[in-house]
Amino acid sequence: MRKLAMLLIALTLTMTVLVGCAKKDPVTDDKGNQSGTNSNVDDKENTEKVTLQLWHYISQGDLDDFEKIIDDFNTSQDRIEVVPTYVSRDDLTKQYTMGAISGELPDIGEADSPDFASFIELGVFEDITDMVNEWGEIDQFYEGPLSTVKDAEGRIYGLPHNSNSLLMFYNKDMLEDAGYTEAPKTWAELEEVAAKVTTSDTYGFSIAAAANETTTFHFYPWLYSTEETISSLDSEGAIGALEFLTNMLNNGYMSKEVINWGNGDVKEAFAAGKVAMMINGTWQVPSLREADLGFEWGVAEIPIDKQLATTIGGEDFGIGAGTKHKEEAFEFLAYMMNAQNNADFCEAGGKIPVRKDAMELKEVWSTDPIISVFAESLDYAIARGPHAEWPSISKAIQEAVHASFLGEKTPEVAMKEAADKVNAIINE
Amino acid sequence: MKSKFGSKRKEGLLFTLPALIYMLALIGYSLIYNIILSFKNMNVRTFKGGNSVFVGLDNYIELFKDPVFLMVLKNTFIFTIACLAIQFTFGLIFALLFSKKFPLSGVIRGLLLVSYMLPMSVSGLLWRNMYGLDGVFNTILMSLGIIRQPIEWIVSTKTALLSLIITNSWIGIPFNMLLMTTGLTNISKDVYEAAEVDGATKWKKFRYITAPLLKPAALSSVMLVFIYTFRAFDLMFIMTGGGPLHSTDVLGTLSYSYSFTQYKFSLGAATAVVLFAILFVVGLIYLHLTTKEEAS
Amino acid sequence: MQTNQLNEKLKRESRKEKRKDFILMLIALGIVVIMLFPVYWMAITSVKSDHEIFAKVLTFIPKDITFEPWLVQFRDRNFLYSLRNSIVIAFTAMTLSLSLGITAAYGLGKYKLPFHNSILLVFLVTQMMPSSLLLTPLYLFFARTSLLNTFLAPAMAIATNSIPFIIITLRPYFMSVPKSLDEAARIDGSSAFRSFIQIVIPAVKTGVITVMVISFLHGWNDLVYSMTFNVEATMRPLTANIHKFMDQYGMKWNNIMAYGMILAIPVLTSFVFLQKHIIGGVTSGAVKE
Repeated sequence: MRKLAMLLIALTLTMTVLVGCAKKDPVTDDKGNQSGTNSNVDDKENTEKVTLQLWHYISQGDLDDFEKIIDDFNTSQDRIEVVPTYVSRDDLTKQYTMGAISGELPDIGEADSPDFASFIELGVFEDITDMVNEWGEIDQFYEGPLSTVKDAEGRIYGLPHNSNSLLMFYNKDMLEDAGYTEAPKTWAELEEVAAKVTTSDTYGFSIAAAANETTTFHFYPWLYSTEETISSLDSEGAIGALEFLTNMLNNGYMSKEVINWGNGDVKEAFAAGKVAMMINGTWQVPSLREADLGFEWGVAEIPIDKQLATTIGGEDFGIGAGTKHKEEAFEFLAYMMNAQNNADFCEAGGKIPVRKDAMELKEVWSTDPIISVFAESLDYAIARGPHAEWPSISKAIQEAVHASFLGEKTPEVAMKEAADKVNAIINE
Repeated sequence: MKSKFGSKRKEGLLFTLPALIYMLALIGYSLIYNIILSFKNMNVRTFKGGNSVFVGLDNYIELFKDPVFLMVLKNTFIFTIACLAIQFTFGLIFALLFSKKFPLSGVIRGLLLVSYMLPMSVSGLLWRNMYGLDGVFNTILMSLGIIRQPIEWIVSTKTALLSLIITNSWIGIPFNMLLMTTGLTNISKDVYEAAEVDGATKWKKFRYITAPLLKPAALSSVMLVFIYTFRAFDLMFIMTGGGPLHSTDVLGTLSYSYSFTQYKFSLGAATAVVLFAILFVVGLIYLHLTTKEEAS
Repeated sequence: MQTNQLNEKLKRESRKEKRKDFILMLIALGIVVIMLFPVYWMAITSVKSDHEIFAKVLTFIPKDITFEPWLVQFRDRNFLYSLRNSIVIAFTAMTLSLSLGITAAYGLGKYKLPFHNSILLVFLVTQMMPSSLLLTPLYLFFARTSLLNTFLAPAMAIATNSIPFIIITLRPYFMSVPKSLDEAARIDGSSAFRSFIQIVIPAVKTGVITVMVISFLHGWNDLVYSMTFNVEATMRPLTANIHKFMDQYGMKWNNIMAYGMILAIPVLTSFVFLQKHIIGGVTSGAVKE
């Protein structure tokens, strides 16, 4: 018996040792930094150098430009080292939620602008109002993006990083073949052109309507073009907006598959010549320009019902709640968000700056025939939220759009149900 | 005699306890955490500063009043039972087939396992690609003249769940085959030889020898597959996100979406507890069946 | 004369056998064609260009083969780290699962324990929570035990899935091991543990190899636990790379497929290698006819 017990203990010990070996040996990343989340990075290094963890979801294409700013910051001084870590957009919400419960948050973190209000409410980000006021550059930020980092009382929890909006990309060759030299400007024209250019293997038109924030992002321009808003989803105009899109789909001008298509899927379809006109974001411009598409394309405002409308998107950065290095984190934020850096990053990545003085630094936003249309659109672009329960509001809209697209409900019934859900949340 | 018996029991416990303690420490904790959470009202509004309070059965009442939840419950059962039936049947047939020696049998069986060995994210994306309206399945079926109009696979609420059942079965059949093959190896050859001498037919041999001897292994694998399928989550998450219109939403995806998309943490926990409670009942049935089996 | 007749008969028999084998092989090949078509699709997509993938007409044989999607994987600056991490996580999870799981399966299969059924129920029950719901409590657990950002955290979480699997699968095999085998060893003076290692485990080798492969696979294919408990880029496993190929800019289908192949090939090869043992087991007690 004792022998057995001894053996078992020995086995357990061996296991512990084996597993212990696999425990993190101080891994250094390719920049030679030790890394960890803020709570377990004690400044072990002999100097007082502060290591700051930064979580972001900036994709491959923009990564070099983003990391360049960080590298420049790290070499510009010897007190602070910023270590960027990619966390996918899907994982990020989960990670922030758990970080908020356990206190394991990064020093600096990125979030999609409509999500930011929820994160403020969950206590993910620090209130940095005082630091921002002392900084004195906040007047340069556009009000739209800035509204997404404020709570109901106007306290500031982060800084906007970049903006984008939706516009219509159109295949010039296809439109010309059908006898149009210009992109359609109204809903009626859009329907007419879409009907003409739709063939057996080409859809005339496409939005992206994957079952997540994408659908809401894409429905907003149509809704707001009718002069209705998120609080009047059961209005005739709002119903009409959904009816219009549903007809585009039912008439075969738009693929039924849009309900599974994200922005990227729609771009691929457009690039392959399977879609003649698509609604998509600013960020697609650089890659479409680089690609050898074999056709000419242009960008135009989204066709209107009563007024010009589009949705503004973008990313924000905040300082993780409970960080020991709030001052240093803000120092980096202020550096990353100075006019020059903001302009450089946005130019390279096909994004629009969030600062007026950054916009003035480069001509691309006023002279580039495509980018300038996007930059102008921010004058009338609508921001989603901000609302702490935005995900639930957004879900109600998504479900209404899908129900109508799939023919499960009429646009009227779908929008009235959505209105009930959304009003209940907004009027809470 | 008695002391010997006692020491035997201790011996058995020593073999079993480490795993038991391990599982209780990690999962027992998680389970209690979720059960407690399911009786609170933790959401985006009450999260900060621990402002959530106990609300009794409110979350459960809310769930069972919600038609979406009831639909999700139905989806979960349909998905599980269909996958189980398909996977078990084909798993068993393939295991029996490949237990025979014929040219290439080993290689082919090995190859069949690929579909189980791919990471779920890849399988999900692969099938999403193939299910496209102008994807490879529709292209083949149309060129063969089997269909005129493309099948709407994961686009239509009518076919989406079925499409996921097909994909999940594709992934799961090799797993079932593997467990059944392993089960077959424990059946002694002598038994069959004896039966052959008695002139038993093939069906009789299967019915009276293979089936009963395979029963313990079969029960285990049915139980495992039931659990794995019932708590499924990844595949829907990757392929449809639970859509279109909740037609592929199951308890696993619903609880994830409550917890991490809508920040309704308590509602998410309650959904998971319902999932757990159903599996618990299934577990009791399994236990009842195996103890009966073992007693006989 | 008689031997001739016998030979004739044997020949006929063997010809009949051969024909049957041939038919079986045809059926098996049919199954393979259907079951492996998606894998074929994956393989050819992994060597197609973006242009060809998104073209209006699907190609069943790639027109221009490009190995770029494969090379992309190896050129990734973290490839070697990720490979090492995947191996460490999978082996740690497997070792942990096997050492705890097999012993417990034996304990429950061979002995009549106090609260026998309740213990069995615990093992059943503990694998019933969807992994998504384990994330938060486990995260808190690992945060408190300072295990976040170690390979032990994902490995331990993965093991909670593999251990019950091993117990449920192997317990029936241990029950079917003849008592005499074990007891014979005992008479020789072996301890319970030694006879378990030396006599019992080899007797259920096939089952052990199966659970070994599957618990390795649980670790090798894990994404969610590693991503949740280890945020550092240098601690991520190979599976984490999937996010690099799908974003708001579009889907890199060829890269995704190449990535899947690269992950599956090592496991598949080692399994086919190990399978010799399983087939050994199968033929020793195969179902004939």
